[in-house]
Amino acid sequence: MMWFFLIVLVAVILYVVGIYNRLIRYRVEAENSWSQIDVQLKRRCDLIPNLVETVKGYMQFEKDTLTKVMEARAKAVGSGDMQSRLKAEGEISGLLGRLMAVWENYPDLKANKNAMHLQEELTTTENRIGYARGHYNDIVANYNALLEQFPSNQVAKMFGPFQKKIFFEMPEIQKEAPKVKF
Amino acid sequence: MLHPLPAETVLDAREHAERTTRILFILILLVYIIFFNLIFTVVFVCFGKHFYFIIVKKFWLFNTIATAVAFFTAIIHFRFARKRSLSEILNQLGAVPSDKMDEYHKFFINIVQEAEAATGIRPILPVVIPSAGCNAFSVEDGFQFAAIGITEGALARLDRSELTAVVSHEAAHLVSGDSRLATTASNILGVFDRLRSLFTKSKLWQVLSKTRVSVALILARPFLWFLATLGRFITNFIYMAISRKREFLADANAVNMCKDPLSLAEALYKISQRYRGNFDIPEGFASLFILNPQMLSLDEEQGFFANLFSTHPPVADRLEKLMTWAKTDVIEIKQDLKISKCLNVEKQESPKFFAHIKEKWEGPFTPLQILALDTIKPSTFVCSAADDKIVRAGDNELLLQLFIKRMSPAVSQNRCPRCNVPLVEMQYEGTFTLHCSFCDGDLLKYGILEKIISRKDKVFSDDKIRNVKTWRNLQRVNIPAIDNFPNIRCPICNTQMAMVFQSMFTGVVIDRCLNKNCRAVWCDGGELEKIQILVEEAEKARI
Repeated sequence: MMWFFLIVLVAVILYVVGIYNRLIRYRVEAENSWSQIDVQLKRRCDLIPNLVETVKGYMQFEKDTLTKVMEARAKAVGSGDMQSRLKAEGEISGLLGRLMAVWENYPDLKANKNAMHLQEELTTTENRIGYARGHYNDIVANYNALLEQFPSNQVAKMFGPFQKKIFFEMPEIQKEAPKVKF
Repeated sequence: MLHPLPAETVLDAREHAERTTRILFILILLVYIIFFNLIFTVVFVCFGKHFYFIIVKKFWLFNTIATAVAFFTAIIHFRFARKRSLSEILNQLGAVPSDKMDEYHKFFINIVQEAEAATGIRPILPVVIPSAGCNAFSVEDGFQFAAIGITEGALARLDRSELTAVVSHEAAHLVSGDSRLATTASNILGVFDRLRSLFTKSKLWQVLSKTRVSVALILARPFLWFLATLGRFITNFIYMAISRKREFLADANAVNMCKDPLSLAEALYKISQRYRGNFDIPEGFASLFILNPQMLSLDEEQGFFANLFSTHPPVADRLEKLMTWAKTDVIEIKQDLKISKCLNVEKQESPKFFAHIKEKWEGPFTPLQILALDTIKPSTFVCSAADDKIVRAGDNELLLQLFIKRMSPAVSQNRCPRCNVPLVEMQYEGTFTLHCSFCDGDLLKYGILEKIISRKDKVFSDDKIRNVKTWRNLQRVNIPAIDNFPNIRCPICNTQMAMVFQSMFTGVVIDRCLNKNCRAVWCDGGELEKIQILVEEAEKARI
């Protein structure tokens, strides 16, 4: 009987240690992948001045968008708190998406090697931000689930403060409704 | 009809994959231990009566010892197997690091870095196999270094979204640790192989037969060999079962990552329709390619027997699953024709110049030729062929640019083996060749020829295609005598170059450097285009 209890005790301890380690692993991995998103956002900010410089000669009708991109970039770089930065980044994403959509309308741009190179760089950076975001959110989802599920929530309560993490979402700018004139 | 999307996330899939792997891996270990114990028992029994009684009386003790020995052997073997670093595996596959200057490679490098962001595994080394075949693979060594590789053929034929899907598939293999599994499985197969060779051609048996330690042992030799072989086969079957399951899993994870099942289906279809390349694959690593490079007729067949012998599930099955995830029932796979970019390749007639060299007017030279001729200096008098004006070369705007360019590494130190003028680096089909502007010959470093054959950026005129076809047909009638050109030396390493057929199909004779570390290729003027046109026309004819 004694042996039986001992075995059960060891099993329980091992289980608790396992859950605790998993919580820590998710937390560290989430922090790491957050820093990766940050790297990509910075990379995008570095690309923007170059992009605007290259395409402004071609895109006569998009001057407004280009200035807005530069403004949003300045906001993103200068902002102190996370909320306003994320808002600015979301704005950049929307504006760049718009630029990429009208890119096809400028055949001269397609012939410009430098512009094509920049387009590829921007595409890959946007993809990387997207993937890194997905990776981060996956981890956060699993981490949060562990914090809520039984019995892992008890383990989390017992050992140290484990706080729920927020998903990474970039608020997109309001899409303008198409104006129809009769 | 709508189908449900795969509900599991990449992380869930990873956990699921780890669970199945663990179960099947335990199965492999069990098979290994059982067979090792059996072999151990047979050997022991052969030593005589006493040993037999020991086994019967102390059955568990004996088995524990035998298991310990089995593990010990496996661990020692594993230590050696793990020593194979990533670079060794890549060397065996003939893969080289991707080139940042190459247009096609740039895409690939970017996509692999995207995969790093998606999986959280970093760094992943992007490598390329210089082969015109179509395939992709991923490997990881015992030290956790990972690489994703692709062939030049696949790189040229897949567009960006398809390439992303393929890289996602390979990244999914890395996430679920299939490479580590392959290493372990091949290690256990290796132990069985060692045992088999011990029971067949070892010198040990000669010694044993002389000493007459045990006649029974020598008599049991075929049986021992049979046991080792059976063990190897069963392990192999389990491993193949794992690898087939994980191929589906990698497809699912890839779709989850890139959210584009249609592109993966298209890429899979394109690769399956092509030559998959011929590689020297390390034991057990065939499963890490997106499609089995050693194509077997059984690959596409269904049923128990076909399943036992293939590392990959049939392409049709995989495509069907992908189409389900793409929420389409109709297979709408694009024509395997990349829309030709139709770049304006028509050359503008470049201006020509006469130059005053050594008291004589020579020429006319094109700007590219002047770039290579170091006897023409900025102080040399030149005369434009168009307007007969004589100026110093340095005063001409166009030529001045050339003299500045001459200082850059674009003008290489290597000289044309035919004309002995410096070769100029030229961009061609997204990569670089060393071009001679006098005889139009090209020096291609190792792997560049395969790149150029696979790529189709350059569009040839109908006249050129007709001429080359006529040339080829004439060749079929008259067996070509080797031309009168003397044998040349490699401009890079100064080793003798050998005249070889590029392939029996094209029948173009090129010069290949005999130095194994260099393997550069020299194509005389027009030969490169001949090869390209013949290959492209043959591919068009197939479609």
